[in-house]
Amino acid sequence: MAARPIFFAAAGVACLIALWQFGFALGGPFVLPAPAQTFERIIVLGQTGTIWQPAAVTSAHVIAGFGAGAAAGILLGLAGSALDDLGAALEAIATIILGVPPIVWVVLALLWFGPRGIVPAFTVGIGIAPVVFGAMMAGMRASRPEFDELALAYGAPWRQRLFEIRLPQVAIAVTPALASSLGFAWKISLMAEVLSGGSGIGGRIADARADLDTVEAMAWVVIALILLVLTDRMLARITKAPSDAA
Amino acid sequence: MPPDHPSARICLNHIDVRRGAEIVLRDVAVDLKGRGLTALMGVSGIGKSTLLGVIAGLVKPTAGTRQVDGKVAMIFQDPRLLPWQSALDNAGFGLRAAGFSKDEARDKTRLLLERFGLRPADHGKRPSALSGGMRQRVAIARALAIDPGVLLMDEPFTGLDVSLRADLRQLARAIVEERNLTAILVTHDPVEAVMLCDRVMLLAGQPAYIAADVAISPRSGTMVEAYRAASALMRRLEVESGSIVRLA
Ligand SMILES: Nc1ncnc2c1ncn2[C@@H]1O[C@H](COP(=O)(O)OP(=O)(O)OP(=O)(O)O)[C@@H](O)[C@H]1O
Ligand SMILES: [Mg+2]
Repeated sequence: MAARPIFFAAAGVACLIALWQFGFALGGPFVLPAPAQTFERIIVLGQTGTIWQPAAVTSAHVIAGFGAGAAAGILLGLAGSALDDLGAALEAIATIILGVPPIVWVVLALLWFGPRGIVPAFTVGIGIAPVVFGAMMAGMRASRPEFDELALAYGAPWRQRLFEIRLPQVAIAVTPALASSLGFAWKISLMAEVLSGGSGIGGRIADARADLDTVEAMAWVVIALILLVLTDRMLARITKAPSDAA
Repeated sequence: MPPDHPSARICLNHIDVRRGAEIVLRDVAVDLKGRGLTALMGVSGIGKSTLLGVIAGLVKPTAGTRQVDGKVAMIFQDPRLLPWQSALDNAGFGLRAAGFSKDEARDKTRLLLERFGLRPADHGKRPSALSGGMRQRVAIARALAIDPGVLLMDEPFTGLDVSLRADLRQLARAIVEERNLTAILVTHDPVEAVMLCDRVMLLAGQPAYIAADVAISPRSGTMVEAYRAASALMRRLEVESGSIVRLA
């Protein structure tokens, strides 16, 4: 990133913290803890090492749910675009799954699996799979006929058609869906953890809330946000490549 | 370096093409062999690209026979480069289709791209980072890389500025000569036809057929000659086709 965007991004964050400070001044420590106090708590959590285990657990939920959901979406998308009838059936199922609010999945998962780590991962996976599946179907469908004609004109074998023409177009359609799904994965995982307890960051937030410790709750929220932004930046760097031409 | 293609030949007989409900070409015959550049002219929408498609085997005729001897390379009306590949890899597309590895294709296309005026610094760029003229050059290099005997060019110089156009025209003619190609150039420009081509075919009628087929000799060397020859060409096309010739 160039210096100028970094400066303005930092200015935006500073504004937000200023608003937070203002909210604290207005509502008092039980509504919003002071930013300074919150950051102090984050440092303490870091120094005592308390930060790592919940962060690792939540990351594991996110990675497992995201990986399984994305893999399922991609594979089902491939199958669904190869077989039209299967595709129609899967699209109907995806629409229904998408219509179910994530919180309902948390409740169902708690009933099915009990209060275990699989609940957040499951909720993430089931939220992501239909989104990736839809993008995959669209990408497979949106193949540009002029490129197929090019392949025909040069007698390109199927491997070349797949790797140089078909898959790049699919990647262009699926990459944005994967990127937005990753952000979604963090939010859903946190929500599921808050509701199901456990040892992730969401569990810490729930505990802090029960103790009426707003500083602790806010500290974990900020930690989760930092992790979210870090993964988002990382993904943006990885997927920057095939951005042109849709 | 390039081998001869003395046996290259395009032979179409009684070709009909239907696209959707409409008959586009009716009873088209073409017989071209050996070295030479033939202009294919006709009003927009008449079926010029369709005819090239038939020759390249991309459009299936509803009737007639098609025989094409020699490897065919097509330069499409749009550059048709893959947006996710570099200029160099785009130029090597046909070579990879022919079984060359990625690296072999790169080695074989580098010199060709340079010959067409793409500096090595531009070889790694994606099409979106190239100018329109450079994209067109990459498309031409891609066609020539496979060492074709038959070269089909669908208005490859439209949309380029005048001097670039003149450069690429000369280059195209030089390549037809040095590689002994049997080539067809679709163009709306009679001046281009009399400067570059040995022969002009006119598509006209509804559905279209080859309404005129005239030889050009000698080709015009200067613009003044070319303008005079172009109006003479138009007159001959009108006499032979028995109609008013519109090109654009
Ligand atoms: N893929 C297609 N499907 C159906 N009809 C088509 C298709 N491509 C072209 N046509 C029709 O065939 C006719 C001839 O089109 P073609 O592109 O061959 O014309 P052209 O002479 O190359 O025109 P231009 O000078 O504008 O490029 C037109 O009436 C067009 O509508
Ligand atoms: Mg055309």
